Amino acid sequence: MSFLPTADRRYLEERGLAFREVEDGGRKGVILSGFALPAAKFQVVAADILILLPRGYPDAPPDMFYALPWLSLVQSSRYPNCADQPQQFESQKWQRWSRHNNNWRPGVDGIWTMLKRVEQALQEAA
Amino acid sequence: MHLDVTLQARHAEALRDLLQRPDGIEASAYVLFGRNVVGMDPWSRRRRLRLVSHEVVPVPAGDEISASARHITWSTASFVSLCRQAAERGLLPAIVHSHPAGMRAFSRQDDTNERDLYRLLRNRNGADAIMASVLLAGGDHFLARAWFDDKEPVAADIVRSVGSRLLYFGGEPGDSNPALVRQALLFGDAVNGRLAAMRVGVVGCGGTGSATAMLLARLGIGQLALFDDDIVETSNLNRLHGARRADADAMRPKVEVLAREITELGLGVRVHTHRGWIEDEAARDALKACDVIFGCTDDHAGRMFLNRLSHFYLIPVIDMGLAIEPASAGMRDMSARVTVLTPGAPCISCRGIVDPKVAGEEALRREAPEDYERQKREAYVRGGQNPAPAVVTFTTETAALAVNELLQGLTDYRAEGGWAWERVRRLDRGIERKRGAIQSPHCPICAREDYWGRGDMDPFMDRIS
Repeated sequence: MSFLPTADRRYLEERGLAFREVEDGGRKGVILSGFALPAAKFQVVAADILILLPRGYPDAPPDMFYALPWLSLVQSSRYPNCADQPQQFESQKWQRWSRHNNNWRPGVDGIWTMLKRVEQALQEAA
Repeated sequence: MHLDVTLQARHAEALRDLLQRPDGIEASAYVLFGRNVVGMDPWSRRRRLRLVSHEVVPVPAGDEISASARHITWSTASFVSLCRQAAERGLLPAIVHSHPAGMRAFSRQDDTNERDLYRLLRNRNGADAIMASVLLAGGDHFLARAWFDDKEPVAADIVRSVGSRLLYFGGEPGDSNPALVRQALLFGDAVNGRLAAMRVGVVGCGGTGSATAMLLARLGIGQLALFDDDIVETSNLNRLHGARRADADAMRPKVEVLAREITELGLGVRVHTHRGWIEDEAARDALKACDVIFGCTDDHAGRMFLNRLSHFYLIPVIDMGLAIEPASAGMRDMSARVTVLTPGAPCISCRGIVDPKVAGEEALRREAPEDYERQKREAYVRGGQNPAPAVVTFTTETAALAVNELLQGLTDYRAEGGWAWERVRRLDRGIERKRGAIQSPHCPICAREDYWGRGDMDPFMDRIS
């Protein structure tokens, strides 16, 4: 049984992204499998992206996102700023990207907002 | 199986418009109902089906095959279309017709017509199909029933209309209560009987919640459900009605203390308690079984939950808040607020009373306390705030304001025509006023109607549980 709100499910399906709904340790989220990364920026071309969705979402906002494998910059061979902490999920250590939501507009924002933030964070990572 | 029906007030009005005809001939319409299944009503201990109106569907012109002053029959084409819509959208189809002369009972012809329509529905939608039927009698009274099979329909115990008033049709009140004779002198036995039949929830049993619960019990509410996860502490004793030092010493749950005090009043109030968080699945039946809920929690996530509940299930939420800002923070503000959450009113999100970010942090603290503490150390979430000032006269005044709003919805004793969507009383200035709000055009709760009377769906209330 899907726990995603209907608008989010519809959006992900229409965008054709490979995703699965996941639950671990009482927390729910979405894993975007093989998410395409900006060209020539990281040591791999794609990664799994985990977005944790708090109870009450979409009234309550999601916050950080997480990547696996850990992404390091091709240029400097190190992890980007604020992306060096682990987060345990499904028996794996995910790379925590500490990017924050300081605006969340119920009814306007949803998983599409979060995906835009993920894409922007990956693009701007330094 | 017990059955009751709640109409949005605008739907009741739309049905009157559609069905009131100058020629006095019976007329008809359709409704799509959301389904509120209460698996175990906490007071009757039985399964309960509560139908909530989601959409009124006019019968296309020409589809009434024949209508006369006393009977109506239907073409099947539009009804089959209604059945398809119901199946696709997880709703329940209903036919509505009128008895213009005012006969407050379904006729034998109604039985025959509806049995035929039910068979059509079952053939199309399957053996577990349910069809509802609503009768508008004399333009001012509603009756309802539902067909679960083609044998005999189940009559609804009550039909309510929820909007700027809380109106009830049918379910005549029982015997008068000798403890409430003085109240009957003002409001009458009918209102006392209505209060006795009501199921009311109180979410949060602290200063405002305990006062609310005690006021509701003395008002004659027959069934109370109390929700709180917390225990009595010494610092609560200044304002927790019914709580004693021994309760704090024993770390007794707030709901347990209140239930004890209400039971000992000996007024016959039936109290159900949920020691836990309202978003727990175990709390769902009791919440969905309520007719009205008082929101007495200052938790943002909890308020957002109740905001959705009020719209999905047509259960008005009377939310309250008390703000006391000490003078050292600039302009002193001592305000009691009461906000009605129901379809048609600006919701608690649009009013800016809840902060989505705070709600997210509260959720994190409950779901993953280790992560919460870790992020607090890293300064990614704000820690708990300093304790707020709390004075029993102000918490109780806030509660009285809220409970009086319930009375206003039932009786219009203020002769204002209905509820104020929000009332604010400046406790330091003795001023009270109504406060308006601008709805965000994008709000999925109060600006769009998709969730109004939607009832049960997957995921529950279309959110992460």
